[in-house]
Amino acid sequence: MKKTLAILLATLMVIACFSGCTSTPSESSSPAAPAESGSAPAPEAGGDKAFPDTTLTFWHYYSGSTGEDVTTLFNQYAEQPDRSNITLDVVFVPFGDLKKQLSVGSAAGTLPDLVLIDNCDNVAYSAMGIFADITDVMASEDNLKDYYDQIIATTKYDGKQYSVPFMSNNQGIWYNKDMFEAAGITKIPESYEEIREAAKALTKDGVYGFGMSAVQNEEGTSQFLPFQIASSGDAYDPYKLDSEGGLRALQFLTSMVEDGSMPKDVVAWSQSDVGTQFSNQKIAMMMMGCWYITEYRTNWADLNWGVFPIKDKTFGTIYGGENLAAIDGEDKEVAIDFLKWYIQYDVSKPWNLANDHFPPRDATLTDPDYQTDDWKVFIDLIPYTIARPADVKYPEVSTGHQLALQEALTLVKTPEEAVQDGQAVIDAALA
Amino acid sequence: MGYAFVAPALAFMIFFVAYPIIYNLIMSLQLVDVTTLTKPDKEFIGLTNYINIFTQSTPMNYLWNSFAKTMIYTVECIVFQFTIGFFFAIVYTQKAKKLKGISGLLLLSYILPASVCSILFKFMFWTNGGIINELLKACGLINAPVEWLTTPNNAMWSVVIANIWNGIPFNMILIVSGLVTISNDVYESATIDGANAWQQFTKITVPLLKPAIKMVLVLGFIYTFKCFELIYAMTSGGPTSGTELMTIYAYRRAFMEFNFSEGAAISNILLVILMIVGFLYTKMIKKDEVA
Repeated sequence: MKKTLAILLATLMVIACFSGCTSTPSESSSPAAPAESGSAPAPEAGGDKAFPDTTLTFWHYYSGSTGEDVTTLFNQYAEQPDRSNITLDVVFVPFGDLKKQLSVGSAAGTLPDLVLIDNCDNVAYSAMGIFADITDVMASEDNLKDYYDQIIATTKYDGKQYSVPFMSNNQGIWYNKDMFEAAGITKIPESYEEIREAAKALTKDGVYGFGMSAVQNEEGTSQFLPFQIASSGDAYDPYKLDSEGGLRALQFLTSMVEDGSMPKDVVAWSQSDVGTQFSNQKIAMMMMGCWYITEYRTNWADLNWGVFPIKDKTFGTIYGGENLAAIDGEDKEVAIDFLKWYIQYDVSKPWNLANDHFPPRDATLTDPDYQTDDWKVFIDLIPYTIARPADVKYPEVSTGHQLALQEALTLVKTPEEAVQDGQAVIDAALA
Repeated sequence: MGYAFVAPALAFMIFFVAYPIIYNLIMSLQLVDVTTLTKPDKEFIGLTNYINIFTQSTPMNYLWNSFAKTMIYTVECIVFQFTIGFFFAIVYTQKAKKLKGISGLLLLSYILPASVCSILFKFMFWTNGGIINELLKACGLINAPVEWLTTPNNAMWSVVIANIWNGIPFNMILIVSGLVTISNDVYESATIDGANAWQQFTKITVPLLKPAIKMVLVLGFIYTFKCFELIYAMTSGGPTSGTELMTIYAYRRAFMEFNFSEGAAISNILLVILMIVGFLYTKMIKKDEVA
């Protein structure tokens, strides 16, 4: 019996080995475990080329039509006559897997040439040493100098440049104009107190006045920080959650839960849950970024919405979005050339606009395409938009914010106690 | 010749099982964070990572918290999954053979990916507008909506209920496979001897099912103990780490906070616990075989 089993097992193993060997290249192209690969046929080489024939692999996490669009965008690079011998292999890696694949890939030595990275994670992967240092090669790039300092801060680590901004966003408070009208609110709230009063007036018949994501991950922190920035003014310090501004921001949000105008469920809501609640008209105001503009205009045409900025001592909003980095590998020269091509305003702007983002640079502020009612608040906020700290300890600092947010909004602890707990986590991380 | 047959299996085991475990063990004894991950020589720091996670206390000891949450989650899930799975197995094999076709429907919850299951339950458990609270209200069982996902204890029950629903078919299938091996003759002779249904269940079904029951419980324990995606998609370990199981804690430290070596240390503790369970199971089986 044992012998039969052993033979059976061995046979299965051999079959498994052979089936592994005969898989197609795309199936076996782990490290990425790519689900979709959007490789374009290699254009014919010939004439004076800027680089030898090269295939640039790019990892991104855009699914569906955006995934197809990013493939088209990247292939535009190879449409330049002197770069027609460059092939772009655009590989989709699920969002939840990308960071893991990068960490694992860096240990295993299997990385792409270009990668999309959330701007708050940029620093960690720069510190790992997997991104190419582009400080010197970018020093003379006027296109890069045109970007605002705060967004450039997300591309740097230890004073060196490791990536370029790819898509950027900021946030404001979206409101349902019809609900405002029905509640008799004619003035757009301009302070925390006015938001709180409006939220109370809007809360009825199963509809909450205000909603946001306070989930226990970075999505929660990124929706809280704008309030801390607004309440802190010039004294804003992301490492000082127990500061006057941090406490005031948390007190304000908690007061809406106590009023019953924001559900405690926000501690389990992702940002996409918040967007769904708003489109289903279950919340009258939401804290959200600009990336919902097209979706709401297209799929929720009846939704009558507007946006106003978060304001207390100052305007509060942070940079979200992604940067584009070149991996420090064999083909880094070509990859860096790609970055230089991408940061041209005429290349990056249409892509940003089509995906409800913006390039955070002077040119955007006066671009007629961004001077619309939908965009106005977000674009006006660009000079006030702050980056999250480019610090390898930031994820642990963020854990402190998440803890405080969850303790306070579930009313388990007072905002005063919650900021102390959160601050203890931050202090321990920095110790 | 014998070695040649075993070689592929052995190579597979070394490459896919032994190597990752040893790599993880070494990593847990080194200082591996974002600044050292790609360096060839990583600093050896002995048991520092283990000491750190055992002594960390701000604002709570996350290791003990996650261990306690994992145990609570596992025990609650197993008790209900096993009991309900057992019940369905008996119903579909003994009493209601005509319902057999319907039993296939039960498999629906098993074939649904955990991430889909968790999103469904997340919607169902919403305080306002969630179908569970609406149903409870309609039945007159509650006056005010239950805050399922917003308090640590309720959130734990929510993920437990989602996992129970997801895991019942697994228990049912294994028990059914045990039940069909019991010959009908045994029940017939028991009936002739005057044994009632309860006596038949406790004196025949349960003892003869013992190996299957042990297997279900041990496999169930292991699968549930290392559960990850269902909870991560439902609560991300919150609120206030109320559903942060050891797997989620390890993931957070390694891949969200980039402390890879502490993540490895937590995974190793998880591995040791599961190895102990596996060891006890093997011993139990051997004892049975001897008996």
